[in-house]
Amino acid sequence: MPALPLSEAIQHAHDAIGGGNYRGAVDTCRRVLDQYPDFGAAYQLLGEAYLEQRDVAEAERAFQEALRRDPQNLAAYLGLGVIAEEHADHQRSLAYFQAAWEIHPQRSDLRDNVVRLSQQIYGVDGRLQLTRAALASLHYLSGRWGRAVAECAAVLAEHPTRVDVRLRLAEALWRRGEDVRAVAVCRQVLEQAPQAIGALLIVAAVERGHGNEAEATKLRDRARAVDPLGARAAEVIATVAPDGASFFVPTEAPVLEDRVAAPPEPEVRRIAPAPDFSAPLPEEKVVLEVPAPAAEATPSLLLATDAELAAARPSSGPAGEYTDVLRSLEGTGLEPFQAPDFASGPAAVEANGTSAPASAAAEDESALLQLPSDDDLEAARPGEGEIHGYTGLLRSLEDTGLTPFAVEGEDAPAAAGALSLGAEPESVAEPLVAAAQAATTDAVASAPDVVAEMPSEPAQGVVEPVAAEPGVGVDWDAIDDEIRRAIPGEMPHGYTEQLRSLDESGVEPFSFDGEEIPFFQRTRSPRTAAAEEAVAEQPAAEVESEQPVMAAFEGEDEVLDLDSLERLDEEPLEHVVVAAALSEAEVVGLEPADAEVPVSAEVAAPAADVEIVPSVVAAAESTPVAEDVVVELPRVAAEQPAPVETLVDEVAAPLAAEYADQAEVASVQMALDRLGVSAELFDRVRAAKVELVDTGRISGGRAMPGTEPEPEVAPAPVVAVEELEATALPAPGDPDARLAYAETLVTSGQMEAALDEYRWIYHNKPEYGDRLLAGLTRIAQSGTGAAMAHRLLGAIYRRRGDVQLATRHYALSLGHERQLAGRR
Amino acid sequence: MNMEGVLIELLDYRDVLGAVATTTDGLVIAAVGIGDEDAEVVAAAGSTLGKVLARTQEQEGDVAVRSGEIHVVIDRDLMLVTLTEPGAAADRLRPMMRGALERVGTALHPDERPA
Repeated sequence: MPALPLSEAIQHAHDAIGGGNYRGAVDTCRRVLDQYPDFGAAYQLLGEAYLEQRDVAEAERAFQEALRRDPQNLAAYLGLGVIAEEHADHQRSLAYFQAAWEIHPQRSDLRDNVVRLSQQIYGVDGRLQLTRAALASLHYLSGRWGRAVAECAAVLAEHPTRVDVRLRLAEALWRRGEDVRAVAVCRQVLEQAPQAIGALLIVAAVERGHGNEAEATKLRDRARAVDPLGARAAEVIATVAPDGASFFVPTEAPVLEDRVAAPPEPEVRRIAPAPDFSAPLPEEKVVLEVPAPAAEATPSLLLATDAELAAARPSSGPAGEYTDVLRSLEGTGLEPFQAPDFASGPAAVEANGTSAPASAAAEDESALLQLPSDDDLEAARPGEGEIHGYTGLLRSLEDTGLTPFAVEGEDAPAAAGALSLGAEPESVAEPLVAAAQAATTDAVASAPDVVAEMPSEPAQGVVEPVAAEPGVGVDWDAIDDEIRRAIPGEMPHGYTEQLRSLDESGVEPFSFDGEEIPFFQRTRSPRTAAAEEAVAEQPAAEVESEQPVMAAFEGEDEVLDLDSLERLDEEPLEHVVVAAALSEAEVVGLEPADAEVPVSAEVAAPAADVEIVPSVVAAAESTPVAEDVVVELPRVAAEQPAPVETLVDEVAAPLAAEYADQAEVASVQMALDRLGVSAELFDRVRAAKVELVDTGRISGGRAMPGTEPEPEVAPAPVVAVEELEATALPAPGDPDARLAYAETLVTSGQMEAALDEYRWIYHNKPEYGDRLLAGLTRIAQSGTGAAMAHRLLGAIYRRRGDVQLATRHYALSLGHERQLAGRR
Repeated sequence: MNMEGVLIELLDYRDVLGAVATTTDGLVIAAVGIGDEDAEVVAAAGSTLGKVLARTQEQEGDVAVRSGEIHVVIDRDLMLVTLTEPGAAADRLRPMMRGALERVGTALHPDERPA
């Protein structure tokens, strides 16, 4: 049989995956790996094929093998990320996707994966952070080797096991020309991943560069085992050392010897075609196969015995599927199968030692397949469990000994279990009674679930008047009497008042949807202890005349959620201030509508019409505000309309905005102080700018566009050199005189002549170097003689050891030279 | 593209003292007119201001301190922080900072993929 080029075999595997022939791709990859057991790309393709086949374990194994051979294998990271995501291990999945993105941060598809998973894990706060590893890759991919090295080193200081970053560091060092360091890092990589192709190639290239052909060949062969096609070698080596391509890239195409890759097989569907549900049901019987107890064939229906199920049940750990269901039913005391015709049960079959005949099995089977009747379902219904919503509220009252809805005209005992069943039909308890009668008699200890008995819930957001309906009118006085009887002494405050007010206003007090909890339940909460004391000290009449909830609702929207405000203990200072202020207003007995809060002109609330509470002002004034810090912050809280239902926020928002700003200012100032933003820092930055100006890198004097017109600089009058010489020619050996003369020449526009003077001073008085900077910079900026001026500046900086500035000026000098040459 | 070259253009303006391009979490990408250690401080300060701005969905802001001002412009995961003299015209400076930041972003995210 003719040998197949390896590249074609790999291409076949690619095509097979693309065409849905995953089994064929696996076969091809397996054949390749039989001959090239370290071929990294084959492992990658194998993993992809297995992943498509949903063979996650094999896929994961293959991807891990691929990563061992190439720690920067994107596809392997992505595959492992997909596998982790399928296992609902989102953190792990994010780690893999992020590793892939950090290798190629410029790829938006990788970036999108990270963003998606971050938001999935962290919600709206989840967002992409440009990590150091990603930054290192960006620098590397942009050819900024030095920066890449620095970032990689920083990452490895924190995460020394990041072999992909270590390999990136080695690549950057190598490309930067630091062979020794690069090899050292590569050795570290090879300790972690002995088959890491990138490290093998770099070390081989360096060894070859140093004349160690034998070592280089050995390393190259190891690299070829991982990359027999030489694709990675071409990518890594050829760009840096094109002459080395012939050494690393195989001259002859490797082949799959004596084997032929299977021709692309027709696509095998992984999922059977959907059944035709419109067709008549087949006559075939469903046979549950259970391991037969005897050796002889038992083709009949056999259900496993309890003993068999118990034996087959895992001793510990999560049970799966069928037995889980059985176990869950055990807890409820239900029998999962109640087929009457199977009275003898499997135990009897087991006892007889014979299997049931096929006909009997069919009957049993049909019995099993019958749907239970409604009665069966009713009988099987579990007892009263936890019931939420309305009855939950009622039950909570049981703990207090109250009977919230007693039957009118009867002395209902406090115990809820003795709920009277003789209610008048018109009473509010009628649905309760009806439900109680319908419920099983053992549901005595709890209130009946009336959810099903209630009229259908109003549409969301629609408040339906209840009082207008017949039979719903409530005798609140009677209820009050009952409560007083149940709890002698003080009348519990606020309970019937709220219900009464709602009843009068025709609003249904309770909604069963958690999202539809009435407004007052969301915003009205138990008062603070201090507030309760204040209320308790008020005369009873005053308490009775407390504003009904709905009146407050329809009024100025000042119902305050003190609890929610108090919960802001850990919130920023402004929230605490607001909460304290509002609590104070509550304690001093101010009705919410009368409670004024300080509102600045900027954030004035439309309904602010109140008097000032001194303590609130004091609290506001005591808020620490840095005098010298002004943070420009958008006042979003003051400008955006608050949601209707959050009435607390409507009042507090202006305050919150104002105090938020002040608190932000304070916190920002503290943060900046801690970070070291100081006057000294600004001084250092100013000094650096002065030096930049002095060295001619910037002018530093431009006004920002639109702020003020650029100052017009009058052109310096050009004075003839002869005239200057006549007036200012210094003594030839006096450097100070020559320097002054040079500056005069610059001012006069005689740049070439000035350069002669500067050059003389530079060569004869090296210590004058710094004094030449300003004049030379002016010349460099002027254009005339700029090439020479930059060259002298570069030489001065080189003397000073400032290689960066020296290089820059030399580069500028060369640029000017080229310009001149171009013009010529 | 030379990122320092982009930033140094800002220093040409009279009131701009130094500029640091960073990530939003404070990793220094490039700096001009500021030493390495000071650049780290400025980046951290910018990151702090960036977090304040992020809470209000703002992309620009500044804070005045005793000796000058710190201006911040954010673009996705990048941020440009400049130190200026007191009273610098923020409304004039920010568009220039934004332009510079976009150019830095372009330098960081090259379209072409090097070999």
